[in-house]
Amino acid sequence: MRRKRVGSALFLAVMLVMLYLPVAVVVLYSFNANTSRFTFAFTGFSTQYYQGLLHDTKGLVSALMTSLELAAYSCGLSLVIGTLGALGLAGAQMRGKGAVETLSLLPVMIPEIILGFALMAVFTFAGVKNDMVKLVIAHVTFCVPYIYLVVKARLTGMDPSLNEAARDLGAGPVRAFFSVTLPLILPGVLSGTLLAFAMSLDDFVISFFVSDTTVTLPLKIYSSVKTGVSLQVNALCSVMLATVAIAVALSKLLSRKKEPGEMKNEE
Amino acid sequence: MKRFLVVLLTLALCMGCCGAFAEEEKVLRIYSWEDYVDADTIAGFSEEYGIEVEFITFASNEEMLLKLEQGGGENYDIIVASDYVISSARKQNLLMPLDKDKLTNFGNLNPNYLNQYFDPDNVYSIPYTVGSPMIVYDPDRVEGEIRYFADLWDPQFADSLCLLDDARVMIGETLKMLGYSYNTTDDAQLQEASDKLMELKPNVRALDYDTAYQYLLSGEVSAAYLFTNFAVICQMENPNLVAVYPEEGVGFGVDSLVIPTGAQHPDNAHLFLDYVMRPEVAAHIAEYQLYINPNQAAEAYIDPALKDYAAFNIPEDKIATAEYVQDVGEYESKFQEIWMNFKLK
Repeated sequence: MRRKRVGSALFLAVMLVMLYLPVAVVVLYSFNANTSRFTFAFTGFSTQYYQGLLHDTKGLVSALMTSLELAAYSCGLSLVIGTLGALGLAGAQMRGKGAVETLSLLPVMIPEIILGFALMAVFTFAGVKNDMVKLVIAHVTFCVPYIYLVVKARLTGMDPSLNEAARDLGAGPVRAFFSVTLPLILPGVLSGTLLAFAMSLDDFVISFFVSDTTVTLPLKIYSSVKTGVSLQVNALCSVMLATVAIAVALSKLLSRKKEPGEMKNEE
Repeated sequence: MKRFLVVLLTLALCMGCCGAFAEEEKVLRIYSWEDYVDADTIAGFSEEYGIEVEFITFASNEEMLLKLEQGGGENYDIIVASDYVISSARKQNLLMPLDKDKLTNFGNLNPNYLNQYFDPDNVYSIPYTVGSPMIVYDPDRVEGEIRYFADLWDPQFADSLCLLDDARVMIGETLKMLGYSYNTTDDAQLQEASDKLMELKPNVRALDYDTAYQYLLSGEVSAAYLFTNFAVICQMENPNLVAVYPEEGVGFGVDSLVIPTGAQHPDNAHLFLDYVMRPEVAAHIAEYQLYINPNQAAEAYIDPALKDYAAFNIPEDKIATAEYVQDVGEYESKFQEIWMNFKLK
C-alpha cells in the first residue's frame, strides 16, 4: 500500500515538473539582466524587458492587441453561430442530422494547414481584401465547432420538458429561451467561448496563410527566427501567465462564494 | 437574437469599410523578417518624411513569395527578399522596376554586389545585406590553423563540429571543395559529394539553423560552419575565436530590398530605398544586422571596432569565387534527399 502511494506521488511530481519547468524557465529568463542580443546566459536580475514591454519597443504589445481584437470578434460571432447551431440541431427532427453534425465538426478535424491553405485560396478567388474580415471569417470557421460541441453536450444533459413547461406556463418562445434555456446552457456557452478564445489567440497556421498585413502575436514571434527572439517575449508571456492565473483564481473564489446563494435564488 | 446577429454583422461590415478607407497618403508598408529592418532606421525615416511605417513580418522567403503569387503585392511597398526568391519573383512579374532617377544614393553601393544573376542591372532590387558562410573555430582546442573546408574532415574534430542544417549550403560547399559547382546537376558529382559528406558524419555533433553559434559559444563544439552574422556574433562574444573564409571558395547570398508590383505607395518606397542607401543609415544597418555591408560609402561611418571582424573583410579573391545557391529545378529534391540521408545516418 505504502509503496503504491510513494509511486503515485513520484509520478505526480515528475508530471508537474515536466509541465511547469519550461514555464518556470520562461519566467526566470524574463528577469535576465543580460543585454546581449544573441546570448541568453542568465547574468542577474533586472526588469529591463518589462520596461521595454511597457514602451512596446518591439511591437509585441500591439501584436497582442491585434490578437485579442481578432479573438474577440471571432468568438463573438462564433458564440452566436455555435449556440444557435446546437439549439437548432438539438430540436430538429430531420433526416441527415448526423451528417450535418459531422460536417459542422469538420473544421477541427481536418489538418489546420489544409484549412489555412483552402481559406487563402477561397479569399483570393473571391477577392476579399480586408485582412481583419478574412481573419475573422477564418477564425470563426474553427471556433464554431468548439462552442457547438460544448453547448450540445450541455443541451443533451438538459431536460427538454423544462422548456415545454415554460411554454405551458405562458412564456413566449423568446421569453422561454432567455429565462429557461439560456441560463441552463450558459455555463456551456461560456466555457465553449473561452476554449474558442484560447484557440483563436493561439492560432498560427491559419493566420499565417490568411493574413496579408495583420500581424498577430504568434506570427510576430515566429518571424523572429532570422534575427533571434527577444527576451521581451518571455516578459510578455509572464505577464499573460500572471493575468490568466489571477483570473482563474478570482473566478474560483467567486464561484465558491456564489454557488450556495445562487441555488437558493433559483429555488 | 436575430437583432443581435444583425448588429454584429453590421459591425463586421463597418469594420471592413473603415479598414478600406483608413489608408493615408503618408504610409509605407514594409514586409520583412522581424527586426530585419531595425526600429531606429524606421523611426529615423518616419520622423524625417512624416511617413507612418507599418511593419509586417514573415517567417520565410517561401511564405512571402506565396503571398505575392496569390496577388498580395498591393499590400506591401517594400519587401526584404533573398536572391533566389527575387529571381523567381522577377520572372513572374511580381516586382516593380525601380525608378533610378529617384535613387540619388544608388552610386554609394559597392559594385561587387550589383548586377548579380538574380537581377541583372539591378532593375528591381537594392542589395541590403550580404552573407557568406564561413568556418569559425576555437584555436585553443584545435591543432594547427584551419583554412580549408576540407580541414573539417580531420579526425581531431571527432564529435565536435556544428554545421548549418541547410541542404543546399552544406552540399554546395562540399561540391565546391571537390572542385564542382554549388548548383551542379551532374549525378556523378552529386554522388561523390554525398559520399564525401558521409565521411564527415563522425565529426558532426550538431546541425542547427537559427542559433548554430550557441554551440560554439557554449564550448560544446570546437569548430562550426556558420552564416556571416553568426561568425561575427561568435567573435563579439568570444574574441578568442577565429573566423575564416574557406580557401576552396565561398557560397554567397544577398538579401535585397524590392518593391512589389501593385504597391500602393511606390513614391514612399523609393524615398525609403534612397534613405537606406545613405552612408550613415547603411552603416547603422550593417552594425545592427552584422552582415557584410554592400554600401561602400558607408564604410567610413561604420564603427572601426566592428571592421576588425574577419567576416566583414571578405577578400576580393574570395568574392571572385563566390557562388549563389540557385534554382536547380527538379534536382532540388536530389539535394534534399542527400541531406536527409546524411542526417539519418
